[in-house]
This record gives sequence, structure tokens and C-alpha cells, in this order.
Amino acid sequence: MFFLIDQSVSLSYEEILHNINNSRSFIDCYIYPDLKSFFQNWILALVNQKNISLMDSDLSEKEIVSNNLEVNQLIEIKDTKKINSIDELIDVIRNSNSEITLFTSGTTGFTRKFTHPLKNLIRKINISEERTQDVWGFAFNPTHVAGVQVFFQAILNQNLLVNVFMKSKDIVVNAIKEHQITNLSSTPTFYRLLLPLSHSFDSVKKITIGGEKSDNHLISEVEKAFPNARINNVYGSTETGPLFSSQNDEFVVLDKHIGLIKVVENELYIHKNLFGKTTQLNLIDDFYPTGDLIEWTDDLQRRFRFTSRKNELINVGGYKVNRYEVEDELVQHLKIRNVRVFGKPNTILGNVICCEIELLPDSELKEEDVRFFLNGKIQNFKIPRKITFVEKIELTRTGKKKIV
Amino acid sequence: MHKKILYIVNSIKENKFEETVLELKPEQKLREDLNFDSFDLAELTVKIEEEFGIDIFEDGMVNSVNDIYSKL
Repeated sequence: MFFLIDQSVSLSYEEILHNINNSRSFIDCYIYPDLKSFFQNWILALVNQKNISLMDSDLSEKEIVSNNLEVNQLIEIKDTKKINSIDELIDVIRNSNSEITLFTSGTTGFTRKFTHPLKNLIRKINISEERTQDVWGFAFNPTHVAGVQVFFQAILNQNLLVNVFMKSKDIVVNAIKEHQITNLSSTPTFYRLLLPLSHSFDSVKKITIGGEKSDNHLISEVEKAFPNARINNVYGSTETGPLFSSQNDEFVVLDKHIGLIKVVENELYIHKNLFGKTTQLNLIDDFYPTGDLIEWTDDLQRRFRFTSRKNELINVGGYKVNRYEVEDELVQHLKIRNVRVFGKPNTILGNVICCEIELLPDSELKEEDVRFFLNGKIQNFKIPRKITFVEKIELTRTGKKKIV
Repeated sequence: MHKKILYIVNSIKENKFEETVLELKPEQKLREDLNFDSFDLAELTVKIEEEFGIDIFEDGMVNSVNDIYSKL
């Protein structure tokens, strides 16, 4: 029975057992060479109740030093735990007292670390008989919280994980077909790069979208490609884990969160009680300002929609431009696969709106076609004044679009 | 250089669905004669900088076609 398939590499549950029963050390702060050894090392630490930090290979020397990290330390395990069966393995992982330290990605300019007891990380994991047949497309960075959630969801239900993170469209499509993937969880960017598909995939039963702002156009395209899938749009962070989920781009404040979230000048604030164990948060009156801007969609202030990131509004001659609004319009063009909108410093306007466009194969577009397409759809000051066509939009290690 | 500037000016006019011009005269004013607003001027600077590596507005306003030529 396989746990992982990563193109030509595989890892079975039996091999995991064998590794656990024959290893005497694991590596902490492990900068991983491949998914198989990364998972084996991690499982070994969990089973032996050891704390572990999960590191991504893109952490810089400076970030390692500023967080007092010692990378790739070999830790001896005295009295290693022996495990006799896969059921016992799952049980031991589920009840492990290990603490897991994760690092937020560096888009905010600096890296922060967060430590979670395992029981907090798996609180929302659904373990049931009906989940035992699930096959996961693994489409997140394994060192980030969303990847961690998928890992636990899969292993605790003894599922198969098929690695499709940062893989090309052809590889993802083949993986869905060949392994009859039933669950996909990834960023909006992942789905944008995957679509459009020449035919729909019936095997996929559940789709999760999260990590970046999503939009209803994308959600409806995903629905078409995966007609049997229930779609869940989630909001969360490394620090809090998943907080809100919905079937479209509108979220609801749950009863249990009343008093723990608030909105100040359209910005979502989250109470410190919803965070993991950390000392590195900059709190205002016990609340953490997320930088995510929202708008209420009802009068009771229970339903809301994310509009943008606070620091991502681009000031153009005194007008504030929400790059997502421009991106949302552009990705609706039939020849456009993916776009990135950003501001470039300019002596006249402060910033000028620029965009990079990745076209679908065998498509052609000119700058004036794009301008014509946007004309009348968004206000003039929001229309990109510099349009570049690129082979590929660069992605970050979390599989999100890089922010310039 | 003159040809390139003409090309850039016309690309901006095309982007606004305005008729292109056949030639540029040095005395032509960017705002009054070519109908450029501040967003068009920003586009002009970006495109000229891309082509020539010079920010023509860096040390003050540029009003006419001749001003562009002299900055370059």
C-alpha cells in the first residue's frame, strides 16, 4: 500500500514502518532534498515524540541566523519506538506529543516562526471510514501549514499522496488520470495554471482553494473542470490554521469566532487566542492585524469578502489601485492563462500600473488588444500602462504569484 | 531616435483608440497638441526609459516634443 508517489519515486506504508524500526536518528531543521526522505524523517520524529522544525530550502542565511536556527542537526533517538503494524503507526502519529515549528514565507519581507503542538495542527483533520479511499494530489509546499494539513489528512486516513506541487500542467493532468485523484487542495494560482482542461475529470470529489485571494470566475471554471467536486474556498494562515471556509468567495463569521475577530478600517484583525504558540506577533490590543482587507456583504456584519492585501494597494497619482481587481478582469480573457499586476515607481504618478501576462499555448495578443479588453471594464487609472508578455509567471515557494 | 519616439507616441495613441500621427514636430506640446493626460505621460516615460534607459521627467517637467529630444 503506497503512501507517496512522486513521479518515479514511491514510498509505501510498509517502507515507512521498516524505516521507523531501523533508524536511530532523525534530522531537525531539515532542508529537504526530496519529498520521500522529508516525509520519512518527519514521521520518524513524530513517532518518537520529538519536536521538529520544517524548513524550506529558500530560507536565506540571514533568516537562519536571525531566527537562531541550526540547520540539518542530526538528533540521536534513545530507545527508538518499535511499531508492528500500519494501524499502530497511524495511532502513534495521531497521539504524538511532538511540537512542529513552521516558518511563514517571506512575502512580508521577513520570516517568522510558529510552533504548534501536533494536536492543534490535526484538530480539524477528518478521520473516518469514508475517507480511507481518498487519493490526494499534493499541491502545496510540504513545509508550509497547508501542506502540513494535507499530509496529516492523508496519512491519518492511510491515503495515497501524489506529488503535483510546482509540476507542469501535463504532469498534473496525467497524475489525476493515472491515480484517479479524488482530492485536490491548492492555491488559486495552481488552478489558474491548470485550466482550461480539454475535458473534465470525474474522479475528483473535493477541491480546496486557499492561500491567496480567489474569485468567483475561477471557482466557476474549476466547477466545470471537476463536475463531481465539492469546492471549498478557505482562509487561514501559518499562524492560525484554517479559519473560514465557503463554497464561493463570500465567507461567514462563525459563532465561535465572535469576539475573536474584528475589522478596523476594513482590515481583518484576529485575536491572539486563535494563534499558535509564538512570541513574534505584533499585537494591537491583543489582536493581530492581518493586512487582509475585507468588505461586508450583509448588514449584520457576518458575511464578508476579501478585497485585497493592505500593502498591495498601488498608489497611482493619488488613486489607490487594487491589483487583484485588475488581475480578476484580465484572467477572464479567453487567451490569458495567468497574470501579475504590480506597481513600478514613476516620476509623474508615483507608480505606474504594470502587468505581466502569460498566454495560453498558441495564443497571440497585442498590448492594444489588452487595453481594448479592459476599456470600460475598469476605471482608466487602473488600466496597466506597461504590458509585458512572458513565458511564465514566476511563482514563490508556496506556489503563489511573486509580489513585486 | 526620432522614429522611435514617433513609434512610442503612436503606440500610446493606439492604446487610447486615437488616430496616430504621421510625424512629430519639435514645437508640439504633449498635453495640448498630442492630447496626453498624466497617465499617458507616465506611459511615455516608462516606454522611453525602456528604450533609451533615461527617465525624461527625472529633473522636471517635459512639455514639448523638443523637450524629449533634448533630454535624450
